[in-house]
Amino acid sequence: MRPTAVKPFLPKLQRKLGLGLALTLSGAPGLFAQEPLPTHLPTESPRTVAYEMDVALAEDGHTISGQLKVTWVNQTSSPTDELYWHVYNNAWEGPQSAWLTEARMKGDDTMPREFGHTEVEWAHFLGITNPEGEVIGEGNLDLDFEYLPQPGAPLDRTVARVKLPRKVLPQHAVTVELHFTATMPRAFRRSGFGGEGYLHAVQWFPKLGVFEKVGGETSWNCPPYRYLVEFYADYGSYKVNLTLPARYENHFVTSGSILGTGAAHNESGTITYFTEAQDIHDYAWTVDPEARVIEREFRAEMYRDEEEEQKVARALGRSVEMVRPSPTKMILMLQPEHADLEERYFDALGKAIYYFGLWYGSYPYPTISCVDPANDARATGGMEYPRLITGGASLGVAETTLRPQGVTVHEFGHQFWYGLVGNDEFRHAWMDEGFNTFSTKRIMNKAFPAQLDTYSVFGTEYVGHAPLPMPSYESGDSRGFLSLEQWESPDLGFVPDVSLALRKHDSLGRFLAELPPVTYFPKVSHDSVLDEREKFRVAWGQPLQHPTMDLQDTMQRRINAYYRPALTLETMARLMGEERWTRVLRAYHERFRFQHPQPEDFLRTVQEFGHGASLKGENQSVTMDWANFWEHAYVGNAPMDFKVHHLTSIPSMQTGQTSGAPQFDVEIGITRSTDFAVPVEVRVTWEDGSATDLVWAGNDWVWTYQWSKHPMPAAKVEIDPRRRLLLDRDWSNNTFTREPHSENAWHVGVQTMLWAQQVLQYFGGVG
Amino acid sequence: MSKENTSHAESAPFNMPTTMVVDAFPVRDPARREAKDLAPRERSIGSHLAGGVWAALARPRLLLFLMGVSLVLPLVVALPAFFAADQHLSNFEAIPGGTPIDLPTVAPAWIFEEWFRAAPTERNLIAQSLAPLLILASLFNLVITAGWMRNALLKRRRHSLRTFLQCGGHFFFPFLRTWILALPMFACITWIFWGTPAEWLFERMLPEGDASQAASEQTGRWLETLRQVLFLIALWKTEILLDLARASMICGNRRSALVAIGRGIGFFLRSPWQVFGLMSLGFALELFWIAGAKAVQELAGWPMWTLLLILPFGRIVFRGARYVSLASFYAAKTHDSSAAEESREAQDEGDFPDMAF
Repeated sequence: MRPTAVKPFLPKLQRKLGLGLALTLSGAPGLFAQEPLPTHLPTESPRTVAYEMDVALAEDGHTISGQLKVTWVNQTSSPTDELYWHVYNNAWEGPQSAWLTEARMKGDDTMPREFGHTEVEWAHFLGITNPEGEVIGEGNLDLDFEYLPQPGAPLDRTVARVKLPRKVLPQHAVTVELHFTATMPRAFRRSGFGGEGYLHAVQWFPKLGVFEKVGGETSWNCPPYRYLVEFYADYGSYKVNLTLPARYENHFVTSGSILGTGAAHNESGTITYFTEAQDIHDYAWTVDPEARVIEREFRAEMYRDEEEEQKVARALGRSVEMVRPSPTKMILMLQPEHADLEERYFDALGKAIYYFGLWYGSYPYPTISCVDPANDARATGGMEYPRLITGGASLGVAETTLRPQGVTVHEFGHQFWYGLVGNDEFRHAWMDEGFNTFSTKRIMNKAFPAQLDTYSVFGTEYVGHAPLPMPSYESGDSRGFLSLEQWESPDLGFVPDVSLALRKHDSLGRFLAELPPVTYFPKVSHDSVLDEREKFRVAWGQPLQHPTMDLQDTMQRRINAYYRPALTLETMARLMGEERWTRVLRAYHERFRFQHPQPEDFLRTVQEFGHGASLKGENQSVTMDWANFWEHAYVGNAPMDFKVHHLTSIPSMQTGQTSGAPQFDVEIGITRSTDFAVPVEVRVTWEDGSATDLVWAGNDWVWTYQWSKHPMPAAKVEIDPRRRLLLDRDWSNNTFTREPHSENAWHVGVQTMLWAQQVLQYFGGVG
Repeated sequence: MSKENTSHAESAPFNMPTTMVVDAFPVRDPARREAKDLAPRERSIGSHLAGGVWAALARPRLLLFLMGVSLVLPLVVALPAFFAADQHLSNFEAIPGGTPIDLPTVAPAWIFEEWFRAAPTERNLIAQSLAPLLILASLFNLVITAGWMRNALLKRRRHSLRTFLQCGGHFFFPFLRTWILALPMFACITWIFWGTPAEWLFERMLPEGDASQAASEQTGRWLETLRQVLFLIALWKTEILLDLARASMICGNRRSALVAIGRGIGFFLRSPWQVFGLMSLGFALELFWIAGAKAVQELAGWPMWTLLLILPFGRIVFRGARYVSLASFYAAKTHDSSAAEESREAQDEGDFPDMAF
């Protein structure tokens, strides 16, 4: 145990000024110099690949065939005579694929209702070009498009390799051409078609992997399409000519820009869209003859948040005009049944373009398309591709659920974290999902009213929050009879067990039993950022640095890719202070826009732009050590938990004193329950409401602090009063109050009783 | 069958002159007045229900007793919830700049979340303690039902908490047999609407029989809604059949559950709309009371706990009214109160111990 510091009581003036002064004394962490941020936004990518495609969609609405020509530039310092390809669509050709095999192993045995697959009919080598643009080597040679068996899935065909006739030297470019036919699956896990002509064409063409340094050696980073991963590719340009059945005219959205005034009409009765896009790393498109395609202009003036603009401008040392996002076109493909969601989609899209642009730099593309998926193709919803995202919502969804706003903001956010900063999603999914979740939650809190808990009746949602869950048992649990849910026959051994479902948890039945308008808490309001803490309920089994594709299950992926990094980033932001944090993220984004950053790149940026951040208390000031923080938050796997150990206020023993104001010896004790050491603020509130803010460096297990002969006893001690430490997994042990507020418990008790009373009244009439 | 128990419809042609003479004078003949009480009359279902409401309201001691039960049972859940909340929520204050903590109007979700995590199974365990109470409430309702139905056939001077409970006890086991027979009926309905038959039907209407796979979300939604509504109607009709069976047991002093259910079905088939209307009207009144009570509580600004008194009062009265009116309706339609009367005589003669309430 560390020796305790002894602090005399606060000066009288400060006590009178109370909390306000205490806050001022504590202050925001660190001071900030407003020199201009030395980084800048790049305007174009390295353009490592250039795809040219001439493809047609068959009348069946889900078979795509055509030619693909790609030129790949070797941007590394190592030569190679191979090209590796992702053929993601082959994940859906049968149960033998790596994706479906791994899914089954992780307990998910769903299969596409209709499988899909991609066949490459031929591949040709067209030539190699040197940096000067001269063609070297023979052209038009046949190439063997060879699928590579994968560990655990020898029949998987999601990775292919072609051997080139000669090496591609650094800065040289190779061009190959191939013909392929992709039969898309019925909508399943991100891609596919629906029953009424909807087709979401993603990962529909053979796509090159990334030739880069992985683990110290330069090689093709091209793992198979696995259960827990998304996509990763090089930046470049796309020219795609798409021939479609005529019914799709004006019912088409794409990652590219449509050239000319629209579709060209062909003699065969089909139409062709000529499209192109620069500086993106994937190309997706969607058609739906039933959907409406609506366009609106985004202009920053429509979404102005002057306070935030000034904060960002001040933090970056730039003018407000420089940080204000530039215009773009918003395109929405909306299901006719969701006509009432049009405003919600556009509102979310506009606000997302505004805030992401303000914080990280303007969205650089001329369009962003958002697809509202068809009902029978919801599996394609909530996904991101460059310049094209999918949302998703249901009929009758209440405004207060913030659907589809939440998913729209999140998927648009991927234009920045994944699209513009293109991390390796196979290994470090947290670098896009985590950054994006962090950003999304901030926008949801800032630009939208709080989300409220709802219950559903016939699919329509109403505001309310049940005091307790209804008693329910797993199927097969004989206790289910107690709640009149099911009856299980006793285990007789020689006759088969019988299980009878006595009732069903349908929404109307539940409604009548629980009477939500009467018995539920009226408004339970969510804070998007704090909601991330919900995932503390699940064990955080693997550290953040664990490669995404090797995580143990989908829950661990959700924790490690989304929630944990979001909480980590929010904790860093709050420890660092808003303006310093704004610089850190902006610098990181500007440095790595159109790049493939690694986790160390982020840490270096934090250390460079976040140095000097400190927590200040009346006892001491502690400077943040970001490397140490990173060691705990990223490399290690220990949770964070601080706890109030004790608060004592004992009347002082004063020799010879018989009268006068009483005095107290006050002591607080704080413990750190885990290995995660980080500085922490502690606030002691006195009986008159004034407060003293202290800082503990957090590097010991226990910390005590004492006041002798203090004129009043302490009423409360609170760890992390400003809630900077979002990673602290238990806030219920952060506060000790001498006189707790029991009104919260009374309300819970009455509400629970009312609820139980009505449920019992209902069941009192059953049977 | 004794003379006293002969129905008016059958005896009127023979008794008419006597009746007229007697009626002409203010004679207080208890036997005759009782016969009049028992006389089935052609009344509307509204009249039956109104009579039921009045019959329920006219028994303050009984209402007080049932109110007491409705306050005691939920305490099994509410008290642990209170103590748990006191332990886990009482130290929380609003986060600076966040949603204030005012549970009756608005509360931040995070404080519930902190509670879940601090005691991960506590809330579920408290909720599960409600499960045995559900079955207890359902069984206790058998006693209540018998008591109310019996009251429908008794003249007022015999109404007391004692006779109410005595009758409930007397018919508990016969009613329990109907309750047990109800289980396979409910299971059968659940299977029809959510099991193989429904799956077979849905597979013919929707891809994979899954409403979420319907090309039109609206269509899927309507099909699901229709299924839920029909399921609920089927359950409601089953409940009505069971109540009719119980009315038949009470009115005819029968103890065979199978026969009673058969008679209940037969009765329902003879007067389906009247029975359905009577019970549904009673249920609607209960729902109106609930909605009205909540509205009044909010308008008047009464504290939440007042609903703990107002709601059960109305629900008990209207539920009692349903049972009373169903029994009186059944008796009126079938003229079947003879056996019940014999049973009443037995009670009057002291078959049941005299209990003080």
